[in-house]
Amino acid sequence: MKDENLAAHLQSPEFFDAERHPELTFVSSDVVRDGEELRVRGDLAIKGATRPVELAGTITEPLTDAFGKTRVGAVLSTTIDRTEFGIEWNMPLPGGEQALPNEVRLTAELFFVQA
Amino acid sequence: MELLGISGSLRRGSYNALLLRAAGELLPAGVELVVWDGLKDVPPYDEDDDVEPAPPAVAALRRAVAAADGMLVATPEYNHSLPGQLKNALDWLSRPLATNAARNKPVAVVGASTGAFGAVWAQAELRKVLGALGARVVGGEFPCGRAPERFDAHGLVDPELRARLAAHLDELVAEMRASAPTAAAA
Repeated sequence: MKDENLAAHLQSPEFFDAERHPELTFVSSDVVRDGEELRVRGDLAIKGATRPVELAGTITEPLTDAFGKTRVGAVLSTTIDRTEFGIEWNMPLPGGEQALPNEVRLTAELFFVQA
Repeated sequence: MELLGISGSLRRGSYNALLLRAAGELLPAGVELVVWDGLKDVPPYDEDDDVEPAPPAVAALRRAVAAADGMLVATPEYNHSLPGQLKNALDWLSRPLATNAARNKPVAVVGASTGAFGAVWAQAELRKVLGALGARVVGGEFPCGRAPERFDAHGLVDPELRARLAAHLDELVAEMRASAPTAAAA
């Protein structure tokens, strides 16, 4: 993150509280593939709160990469309500609307390389 | 453990200073209130002056906050907000943001006013500012309105307010214990 003040604010107690919760984790419990489509269920833990989430996306067919390794790529995303994870900060703009939405889209781009 | 008390009012006989004193009497055993009284000496914030060594009053504030396990800030209300001199000291304290002495520090706010509302808007703004510093802001507001009726020569005498203040402090002290490196022993 380029703005060090923004990075500091996001790590402070009113956002992610990195002092007490230095890690965010996702543990998958179920993976379903249907052709290119992929669905992954699991538990997402942020700021001490663990919630079930389902991610949806696509997976590529295995391909041989530039180093001769077999590689599979997947893109997954989901939308969460940050307030369910205790991230409640907001501030009304002068027009009356809140500065930040509660819904946050999470996206993961994954590559799996066969050993 | 040490709780640093800061009053945003400078005048002699300030009700907010009396409120801090009352808080000191109501703290549980093992927690000591240390009042910082250097607010009037803090110069106006100027980024050109925000270099090492910091102005002496600023350095003293930063040292006092760093040494404390938590903070209790008592604010009066000026024009529906916190007093300029208190905001100014917090602006000094906040620099640099990522490593400032108030970061992750448990802090609660209280406020006294002669009017009915007990500086509740100033406290809400103060909580917002302390959150921006990265402090661990505990509890809500503690409005002590109509202050002249709540205090006498012996301090805060209103029994209902004393009970509410004790509960407010319990919440702060619990957070200080949770943050202390030796939390299990405290």
